[in-house]
Parts: sequence; C-alpha cells; structure tokens
Amino acid sequence: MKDWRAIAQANGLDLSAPELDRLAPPLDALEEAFRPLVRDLTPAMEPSLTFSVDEDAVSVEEDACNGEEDAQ
Amino acid sequence: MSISQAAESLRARRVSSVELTTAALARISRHNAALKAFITVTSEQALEQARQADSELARGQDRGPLHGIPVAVKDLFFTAGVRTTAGSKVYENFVPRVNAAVVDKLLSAGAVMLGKLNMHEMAYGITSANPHFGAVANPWNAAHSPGGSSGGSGTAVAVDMVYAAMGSDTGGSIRIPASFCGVVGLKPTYGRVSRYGALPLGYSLDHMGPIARTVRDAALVLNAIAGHDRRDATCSRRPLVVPGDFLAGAGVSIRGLRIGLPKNFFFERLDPDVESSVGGAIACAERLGATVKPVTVPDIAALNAVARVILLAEASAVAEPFLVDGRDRRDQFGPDVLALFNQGRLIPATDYVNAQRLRRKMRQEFNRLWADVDCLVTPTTPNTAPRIGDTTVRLAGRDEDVRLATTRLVRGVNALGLPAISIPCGLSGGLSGGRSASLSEPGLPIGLQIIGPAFEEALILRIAAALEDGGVGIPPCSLGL
Repeated sequence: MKDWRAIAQANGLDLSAPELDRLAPPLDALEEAFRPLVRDLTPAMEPSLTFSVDEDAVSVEEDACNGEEDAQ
Repeated sequence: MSISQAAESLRARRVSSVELTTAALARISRHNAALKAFITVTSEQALEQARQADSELARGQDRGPLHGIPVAVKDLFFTAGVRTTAGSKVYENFVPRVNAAVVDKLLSAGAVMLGKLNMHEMAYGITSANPHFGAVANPWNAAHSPGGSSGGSGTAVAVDMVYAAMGSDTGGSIRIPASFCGVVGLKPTYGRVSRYGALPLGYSLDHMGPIARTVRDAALVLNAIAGHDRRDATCSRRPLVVPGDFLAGAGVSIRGLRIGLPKNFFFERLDPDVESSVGGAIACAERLGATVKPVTVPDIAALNAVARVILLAEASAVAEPFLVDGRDRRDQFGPDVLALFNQGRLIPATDYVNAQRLRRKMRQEFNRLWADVDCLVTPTTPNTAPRIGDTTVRLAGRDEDVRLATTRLVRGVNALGLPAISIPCGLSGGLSGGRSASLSEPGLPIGLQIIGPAFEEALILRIAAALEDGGVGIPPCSLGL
C-alpha cells in the first residue's frame, strides 16, 4: 500500500495526522481496485478527454460573471 | 397535478400562473422549515414572472408547455442577481451576473422561477445533510435522507413545492434523490444539455437534468433545456433526435423492444424490497410486449473505480484555490467534503490520465451491448433512503459505506456519459407486499433505472412512460396532498 503520509509531505500538503488517518482507508481501497486496471493499457489507448483546437467555448467569467470576487 | 394538466388549465383560464405560483409559495412556506428544501426563495420575482406569464397568455403569446409553470433550480446554477451558494460557505455571498444556460432556457420557455434548492455541499455527496443550510429531509419520512446531491430538488418536487426542478448528476446526484423521494429523475447524455453557468464538480462527469413528478413532465423540461450551446466546449452539436419533443404524442408502445437485464453486478447485494419492486416493473415491461434479454455487462466495479479516480482529481482541482489558501478557508467545508478534496489531492496526474484512458476503453466495451439490447434496466440504488446521519447500510449481511453503496449502480453511467432515468417502482414494505426479509423501514420509495445508448433520451423516456402508463409507480407523497 502507498504511504499517503509521505506522499502528502512530498507534495507539500498541509494535512493533519487525523486528516491523513481518515483518508487513507478509502484511498487504499480505491488503489486496490484501480491499480490492476492500468496494467492492461496499451500505448495506443488515448484518454477520453483530448484537447480540441477548434473549440469556441467561452468561460462564464469571460462572459460577464465578475461575481467571483464576492466569493469569500 | 402534472405540468401538462397545469398547462391545460392555464390555457382554459381555469387557473392563472399567479394562482399556481401563490399555491406553490404557500406549500414552501408550510413545509420548508421542516424539509429544508430551499436555500433561497425568490417570491417577489416569481410573482412578477407569473403576472407576466398570465399577461402574455392573455395576449395570445404562448411560450409552450412550461409557460407559467413554477419551477426551481439546484443552488449551483448561476442566477443573475440571486445568490448561488453550491450549498457551501465558500460561495455564501456569491451573486452571479449571468444566468446558467438552463436557467435562461427555462425562463425563455416561460417557466416561473421560485428559487434555489438545497443540496449536498458542493454537490459532493449523496445525503444532502448540508452543514450550512440544514439537512434536507425525505418527505416520505423526515428522519431519512432525500438522497443527493440534488436532495432539495427531489424533496421539493415530491411535495409539490414546484412542478419540476433542475438537478445535476456527477455520480448519481439526480437519480439517487429521484429514487429516494419517489419522483422521476433524468440524466441526459453528456453534452446534450449545456453545463454553462453551473458551478462544476467534475468537468468531464457533470450532467444537468430535470427532476419531475412524471416521465412526461421530465420530457417537457428536457425539451426546453436540450441543445447545443457554444459556451460549453463539451456540448454536443448533434441535432436533437426528435426536434423539440423527446416524448412525441401519446404512442409509447414498447412492444418488440429488447430490454437488457444484467446478469452480473446490478442485482447483487440488494435490499429484498428493491429486488422485488424492480422485478415487478420488469414483469410489467414483458406484459407490455417487450422482450427481456439477460445480458452480461462489462466490469462495473472497475468502471466505478475509474469514475472515482476521475472525480477525486477533477473535484480537487476545482476546489484547489480554497484548499491552498490556509486552514481558515479549508475548514469552511464540511468534514465529509473536505475529506474527499484531500483524497483527490493525493491522486497522481498519471492516475487521472490513465483513468481517462480506461474510461474510453470501457465505453467501447459497454457500447457493444447495444447490438443485443435497446436499453438496460436496473435498480437505481440497492437500498432505500438511509436515516439521516447513517454512515453505513447493511446489505446481504454486509455493512457498506452508505455513499459507496448508494452510488454503486449509478456512478459508472456518468463515466460512460450515457442517458439514464430513474422512475419510482415501489415502496418498501408496501406495494411489493411487505416481505419479512425487508431491510428498510416501510413506506420508502424504490427507484428503477433505465440506461440507454448515447443520445437516446427519447427511447428511455418512451420506455419509462410506457411503464408509468402500465401501472409502475407509487402513490403521491402524502405531504404533497
């Protein structure tokens, strides 16, 4: 199993010991389910999300929402 | 009264929009203190919109079936000039200057907006036990959760506070409250409805859709909100399959349709009442002429793991500004939501990318099913609504984390992007005959999920409507009467 405490420290995350104790079990369980799946991936399998250069979306902030500054 | 019935009454001048709105506001006033369904009620604005709706109808200006109909939206949809909190303290004073795309579309369709609905904080959970705005209560039993994250939407619709409500669904957040509250919840195909102006949780998993009392009402709302929006980069340019009407006419036969019944995963570890009620709905489909075909579905447990990696990473990326800004800011989140954000910060970038690669592979595997069947039917949740505060649920002799159990049958569908609808199909200890093996308290709703191929909302709505017409359903919630 991964050492979540060491990973948090290496990433510079300010997580308390109780917080780390709480998040380790679900992450361990997820790790156990997810890790074996990765072994089946071949290089040609691309991610579901790819950058689309012709997209023309605008962000909601660009589109007039300046209310973000009101968020605390 | 359904939206169609209210719309007919409005046009026959048997009732006005002001009267419908006043009655809805009275129900909110009567029940909201106990149910905590609304965070913000926009009474004056709603009455003004209702007066305008009446005036337009009197002039012969008819915007369609939602004209003059009271609705509300989950409090993560931007509403110009009206506070939008996402159920969180960090957005406590956030007042957008623009409307979300779906809000604009509902208003253009003439709907009357009654306000903003309570939800699980940041849409990141399934209980709607909101630490800042109060725990939403289940209208069938106030000691129980309404589900979430769109819990206020489910409760408000179930007790007739509104005719329909907008929710969002990232891992089941429309279908779960629909199931627990005994109403209809539709998660359209990813890209069918614009996400513009909805505060995000997981960019590639978020779906916007309606919660309503009947299948036809959900279709009427989808008619109003579906379609391309250039402001959402993932919004589909694919034309609507049935332009302007996802449930055209009264002909909703399902004779000859091939209904896929999963042999694996979806019927494992169920509350016996859930199994019994869903079985009753499937029997109804057969009586109506559909062919039920047992099928083996791809590994849904693996799909759920992939979906969770994606969500953990995307949600923590969204919340990062609040997480790096010191302890004071972080501690504004409830402990359950903060724990999930912290988990997401420990997911490496390689895992996120690989999860998106696995997602594409699994979608290809799953899509092969559609050669053999037209849809899949499953329970929406393996359990009925847990008690508020419960952290585990006992199923088949095993205690499961309540969030993981409740999302078990719905989460993967978000990663696939497929349309899915939940309709009520029974009550625990009630319509299904009160089995002695029941794990639920009596009288709690049970949901049936119908999953279809991408962009086949019209198909799953047709199947759901046929089942509804065929008697699959539950009586109205007594609080709403």
